[in-house]
Amino acid sequence: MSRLRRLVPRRLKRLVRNQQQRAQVRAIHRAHARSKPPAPAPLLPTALVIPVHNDALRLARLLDVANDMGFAEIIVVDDGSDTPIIAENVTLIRHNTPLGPGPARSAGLARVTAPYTLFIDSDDLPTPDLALLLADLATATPFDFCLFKHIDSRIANQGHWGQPEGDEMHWQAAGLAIGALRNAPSAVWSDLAQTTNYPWNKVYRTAFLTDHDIRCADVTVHEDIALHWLSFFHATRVLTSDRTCVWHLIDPHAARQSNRSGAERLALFDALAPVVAADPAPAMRVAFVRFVLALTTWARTVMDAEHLPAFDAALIQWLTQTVQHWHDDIAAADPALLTRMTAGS
Amino acid sequence: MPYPDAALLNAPLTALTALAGAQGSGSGALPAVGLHLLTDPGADMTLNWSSPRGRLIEVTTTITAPGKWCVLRLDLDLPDLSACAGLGFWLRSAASPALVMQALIRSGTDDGHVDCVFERDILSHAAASDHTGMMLTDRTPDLPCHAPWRMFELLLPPYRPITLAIDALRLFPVPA
Repeated sequence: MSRLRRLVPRRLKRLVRNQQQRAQVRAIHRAHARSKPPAPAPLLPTALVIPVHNDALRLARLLDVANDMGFAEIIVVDDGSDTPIIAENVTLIRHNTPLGPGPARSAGLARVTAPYTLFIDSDDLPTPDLALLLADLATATPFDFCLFKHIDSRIANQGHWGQPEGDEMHWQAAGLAIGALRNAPSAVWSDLAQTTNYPWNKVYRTAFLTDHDIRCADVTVHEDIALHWLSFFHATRVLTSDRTCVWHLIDPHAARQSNRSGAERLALFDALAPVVAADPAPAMRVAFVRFVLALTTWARTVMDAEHLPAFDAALIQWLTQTVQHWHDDIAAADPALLTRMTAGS
Repeated sequence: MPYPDAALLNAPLTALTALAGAQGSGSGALPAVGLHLLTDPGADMTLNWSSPRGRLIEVTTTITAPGKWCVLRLDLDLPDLSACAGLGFWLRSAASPALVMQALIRSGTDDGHVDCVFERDILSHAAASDHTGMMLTDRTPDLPCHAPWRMFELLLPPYRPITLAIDALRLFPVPA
């Protein structure tokens, strides 16, 4: 009897507690479900600059998305398309003869009035994550550029998501692979700079580019190397975001710069010149040489065999002579890298 | 018993996702009632979290002395599972370095509670990836059809530092 007396209040208490807890959880969940969705956040005032050459269809696809995303302005630079580009609700600039994507981007940048700029290629697409990032950046403390992740169509075609493993590796080395918005310490910029896909993966402060005269080189291939690396050399504050903000299309059959296989690929070494001339710090020198070795390894895979001897000779000259004054720094930081640089000479 | 309302099940998750910029540290309740991020009090670890725009939560821990558990807990208003065949969840996450997590349903009983762990572990790595898990009542004898209270728990590694982003987590009743 006494056991029953003890048991009943305990069970009753537990029952009441459970009922209260259930009622509380239910009330809370219903309150959450009734709450209004948050109002759209203001976006960072950003200009979208799009160079285009004979790619009206994909440009139309891009503009269809971009026009609904709340960019401060959209600037299209028609780089001598055979049939002039027609586009509404944008600032349209036309080069009557093709000058290449570098001068096209520079022409577009010269017309930007918004405080921030994003370069994007006509066959790429911004994702909804970009709007989230621009909303985050609108309340961030001042920065020179924000580097974000992207989706590579080759990765997507394999059933995966995100950027190539080589790029991801540099983000991981920097310790910034995860995080919707992070401040990137300058010590890891040499890791981040080695990503091989750009320039459409950064939101730039427009004045940062113009004040430091950072722009693409006037060369036919790899014109964006200078834009990418000089940004890191001149920056004082860099942010990163793991949001995948741009869908980057790799079409091996299209007449894209990256598919060029002829002698024009030798212009790669001209594209490196502005970076060497900028006299980077030792850590950046090491990083840049690693980058060049990775880039030239890739470039050899797309080049016609007949041009490889000339390409290899140019590479050896660059490694052993052009950047010879970097060798001491490289020997101190990475002796194996220096051995690799001088192995072919 | 009516079929469970998925919107209500997920309401705290929806609420926290909508709280752009919320952040905090330490073990405790999150600012969406019904959600908790809890660590073993015996552990010596720092825990920081934030809820970026459009993303459920980011969690970073550093470990001085490992604990026995670290958990993201969601209270469920799901006393009766008889109207459905079970419960499932969908998770999109990323972590660097990669990590493995487990998920479970904790159901209250007369004597305390019973835990039922979802069958497959969750692998999370640097590129965001999706995971789905499902628990059917007729194949999970330990999962009581009726329970005074229930929780969904995501078990995070308590023994090593983590940097984890949970983009989204949704629970859903499995139709009978």
